[in-house]
Formats: sequence, structure tokens, C-alpha cells
Amino acid sequence: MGSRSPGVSFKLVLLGDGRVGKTSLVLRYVNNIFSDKQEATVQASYLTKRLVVEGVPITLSIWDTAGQEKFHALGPIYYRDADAALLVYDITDSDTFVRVTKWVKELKQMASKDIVMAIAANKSDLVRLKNIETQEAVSYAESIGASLFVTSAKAGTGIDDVFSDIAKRLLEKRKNSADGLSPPQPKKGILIVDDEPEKEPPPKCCS
Amino acid sequence: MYTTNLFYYIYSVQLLLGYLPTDRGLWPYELEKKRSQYSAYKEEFLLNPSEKLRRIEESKLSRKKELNIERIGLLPRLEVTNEEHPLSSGKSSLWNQYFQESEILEQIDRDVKRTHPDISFFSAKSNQESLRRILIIFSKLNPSIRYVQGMNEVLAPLFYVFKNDPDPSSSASAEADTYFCFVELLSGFKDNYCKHLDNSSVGIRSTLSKLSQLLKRHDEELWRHMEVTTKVYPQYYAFRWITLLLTMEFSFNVCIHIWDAILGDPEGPPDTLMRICCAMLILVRKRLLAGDFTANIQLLQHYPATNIDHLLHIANRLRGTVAS
Repeated sequence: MGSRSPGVSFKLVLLGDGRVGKTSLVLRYVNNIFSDKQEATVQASYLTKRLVVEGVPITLSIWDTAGQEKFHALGPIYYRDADAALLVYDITDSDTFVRVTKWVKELKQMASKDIVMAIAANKSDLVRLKNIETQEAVSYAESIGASLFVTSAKAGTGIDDVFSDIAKRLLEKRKNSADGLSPPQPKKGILIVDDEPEKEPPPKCCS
Repeated sequence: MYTTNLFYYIYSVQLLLGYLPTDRGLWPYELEKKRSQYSAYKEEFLLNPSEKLRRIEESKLSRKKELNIERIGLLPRLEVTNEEHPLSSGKSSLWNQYFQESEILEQIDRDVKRTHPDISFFSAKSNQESLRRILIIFSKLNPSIRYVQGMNEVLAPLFYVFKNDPDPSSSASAEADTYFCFVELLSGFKDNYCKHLDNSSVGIRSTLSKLSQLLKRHDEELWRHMEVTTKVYPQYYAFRWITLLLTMEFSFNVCIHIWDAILGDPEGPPDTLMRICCAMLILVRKRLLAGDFTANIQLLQHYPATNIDHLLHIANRLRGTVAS
């Protein structure tokens, strides 16, 4: 993608209904800022974030897309060759979860077969901790081989976790394919854990 | 950002938008007509079904009373036909329409609330209500477009200018005046918003490829660097430029200045907008030629402050070259 930075570069796309907090998640992650009244995204914004996972420098190219249906028609240019998708819904609005399941269906048809997926149940600051009901979402995430994270862009919780989980799984996948080992194994759903033991990073990981 | 020359523009813009006739003597009459038309729209489109039904019943009742004036003593029963019951699924049910539209209304509501949150003018409840009503009425009168996210952004500068008119009588009718100017402004660009035209020769995709061709014709080196070397296609940055008429790229007064140029140009609004977009690329060509994918996307998604007269001058030089 023209980036001359060392290490590996991955393309990540954020998808989800309007006003679930996609832009807020990205802005919190990339610039550590939050605004209560984030303006609506028209089409898609592009941001980059550098991070180091297991000693490997990684550049995430992030496409933060618009939620509205009208922009759906142009959606494929953002997710077609994406390495990963972060699907976002609003934990206080079950309709937005239904939209996530629709996006997953579309990705399965249109995107690359082994696209890494994660789901962010955002706006957790709006519900009392004991009321967070993610059982259905967790089992759904497991069924599609995605991990689910409870996040709050406002409080700044869960965000680093979800992005670094994506980065780790992307790196893992790249390792496997670079080593020419067995095809990627089906992934298990994970709920905010990041203590999976990792192998040493291989020397050749760039593609 | 809000200089007094905005008020100068408002009059030229009004004229160019075709909202007012060129003969100044006709202005009061024309304004009066449009404003009462807007009141009628509000009556027609903003009442909820129960209020509408109540009014229908009321008029039925009064008619009945007139007809059966001799049958005093019998109280007429309120008639709610099956069609008009809230639980009826009949297609023509007012309630059914109402529920179908509620998603759009919700979207408009959300976006109005987050229009320029940094400017206190737009946090005022009464101003938010005006924007909301304008967008709802537009969506009902344009069923093929309805509401597309970002229209609130196009609306904002127009309403800001009208509402802040020093003449109190104009300011009081700001909502109606803004509505008609908004309609005029979008009229040349409607096809870009129609989803079912996206892949046609007049939809947004073809508009984007026109921009690409225009750039190629005028600056092949830049075009090659953008589209072949760094793969920065117009889809990534110009979609917003075009659908929102550059609203998000410049400040209010610059926008009004640009719209003035777009609407007043004899080549017509769509081609003029194309030339301005192309000029925006040419104006930053040095930086674009030195940039990679990331740098260029970010530059074009956050277009730098620029001398607007110079920009329009460059756009002018591209005259007569937009492919039809």
C-alpha cells in the first residue's frame, strides 16, 4: 500500500450501523481523543496506527466507513481486499447487532475468505456493568470465528484490547502462510483475553 | 469565519439560486408566496397521523353536522376505518407510512444533533428543530433520494446565513428561505444522491470517473502518480467533495463563495464543481507528487486552507473541458 515503514502492514475496515461509535473508537485508538458529538462520517475516513506486536512493528491502515445504507454501494472498495474487519454495534441497541450479522454475511460473500473479524460491543459506559448482556453476541462471535470485546470509546476501555487482538491474529495468520504450514485453523471466540502464548516471530514476515 | 461579507453573499446567492426574480420589485410578493407554501408543507408533512386523522374526522363531523342539521339529539360516532387503525397493515394506512418513515426521521434527528457541535448556534434547540423540519420536508418531497447522510452539512451554512440576517423579518422566515435555497442548490446534483443511479451514466460513480478523466487531460503526470503509482482513486476522497458540494472541506464563507461560483457559472453546476475539484488537486500537485498512498489520502481528506480566488482562477482555466 505504498507505506515504506518497516515491518508488516495490514488493512482494517470498520463496519457497522450509523452512530454506533465507529469513528469514536478509531479516534480514541489512534489519537486518544473523544467527543460526545462526533459528526457523521460521509463515505470513509482513512487513518493509520503503528504498533508493535511481539517485537514486530505493524502498521494498521484503518478505513472508518460511514454507517448509512446509501454509502453501502461503495462499501466493497473498502473491504474487498481488507485483511481484517472490526464490526461495531451499540450495546444499548439490539437493532445495531442485527446489522452486524448482515455485514458478516456480506463479508463472507464478497471479502477475502480468511478475513480476520472482531466485534466491538460499544458504549458500555451507558450500561451498568452487571447489566451487560453479551451472551448471545459472544456465541454468535464464536460461531463466525470472531472475538468479541466490550468497549467504550468514551471511557477508553477495551479499545487497545480489540485492536491488538486483531493485530495479533493478523500476524499469526501471516506467519502461518509465510511458513507454508497448515492452512489457518478455525479460530475460537475470545472474550477480552490476550494471554495466549505466542510462538517466536519468524524472520520473514513481510509480503 | 463569520464575516459580514456573508450577508453580501446571501443576496447574490439568493438571486443565483433562482429563488428570487431578478426584478427587485417582485421580491416581497415572491417571498410571501414561497413562505406560505412552506407553511403548507409543514402542515402536510409534519403532523403525526393521529393529529391528521383528528383533523379529517373534525372536517367530516362538521360536514355531517351541516348535512344532518335536523337530526339533533343523535351524537355522531367517531368513525375510524380499518385502514386507518394504527395496527392495520394496509399499505395506504397513514400509520403504516408513518412507521416506515420513522427510520429516516431517526437518522435525520441523530445527524441534526451532531451538526457542527462546536458552534453554539447549532446547539440551540430551535435551530436544530428548523434543520430537522427542512430535512424531513425535503425527504418527503423527494422520495427517490429521501435523506442522505451529510445533507445536514450542506444545509448548515445556508441556514446559518439566513438566520443571522440583520433584518429581523428575513431572519424570522429563515427556515422557509433556507428550504427553497437548499432545494435550488441540490437540484443540479440530485442524481449523485440516487442510490439506484449509482452505476448509471449519471450517478456518482460516473461523476467520479469524469473527475479522473479531467485530471488526466490537464495534468497527466499527476493523474499517473495518483491512480497508477499510489492508487489513490477519486472514490477515496472526491465522493465527499462532490456529494456534499465541498461543505466539509472549507469554512462557511468559503463554501458560500464557492457555491456562488458553481451556481452562477454558464457551464452549469455539475461541470463547474468538477473543474473546482480538479483545480483542488492541481493546487496541491507538488505535495501529491511527493506523497505515497497514506500521505495523499490524508492530505485530500483534510484539504489545507487555501486562497479561494486562486482556486477559482485555476478552475476557470479548465473551462470547456469536462467530458459530457
